Amino acid sequence: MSIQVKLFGPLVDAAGKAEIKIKDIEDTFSLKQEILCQYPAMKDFIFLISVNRKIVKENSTLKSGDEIALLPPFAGG
Amino acid sequence: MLVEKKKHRVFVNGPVSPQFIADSIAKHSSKTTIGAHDIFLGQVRADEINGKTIKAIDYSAYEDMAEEKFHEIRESAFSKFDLTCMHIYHSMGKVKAGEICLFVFTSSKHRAIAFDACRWIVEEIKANVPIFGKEIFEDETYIWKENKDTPALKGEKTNEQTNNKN
Repeated sequence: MSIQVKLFGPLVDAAGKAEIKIKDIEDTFSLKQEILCQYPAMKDFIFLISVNRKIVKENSTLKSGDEIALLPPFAGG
Repeated sequence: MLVEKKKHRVFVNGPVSPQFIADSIAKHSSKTTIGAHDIFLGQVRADEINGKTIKAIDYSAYEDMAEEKFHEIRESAFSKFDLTCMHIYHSMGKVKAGEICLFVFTSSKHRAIAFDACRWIVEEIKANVPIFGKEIFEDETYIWKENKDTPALKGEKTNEQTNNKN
């Protein structure tokens, strides 16, 4: 399964693009590992993963069609 | 349970103008059960960091998630506080130092509720809405703004944190 991952803020700078595609990933922990492996510049940043617009901190199984994003610290206001 | 999803536009392009704020106040003159308004205005600061001064913040957002969060904040505010009405406006794009980037407006019968709700809403926005801000210096270099109560900074830190502002 191939997963589209949306990036925001400093993570766009780190990856050089606003969306990345990661292949053969089953859950959020392995997604994070794979991203840090493919985009080592992201190791310098703190981020959380959201699945379908909800932040997930526990490992979560991903299914096709899930909306995945990496969220750096918020800065509203 | 089905929640009524009435669309409330929160994001405005660029700064929130004083005229817009004045017009919002004027629109409430017909709502005569209101006895107290409270308004919070967030303004972009010209902070000096390592000898360079911030001239603007360029805001971006994960808009779909941000809209859901604003909706949740709105629903929670109405259930927690006896509000007559409330409005939230936040800037997207560039806002110069000295301009307004956040406008929260709460109205109630009495002042205590308007004060409490306004503060609660502002804190919720700063902590939980996925908005990102690029702080741009006069020489066009930039750093990324980080709110201190943001979830990414509260969780376990599995990555090395090396992108501190200073």
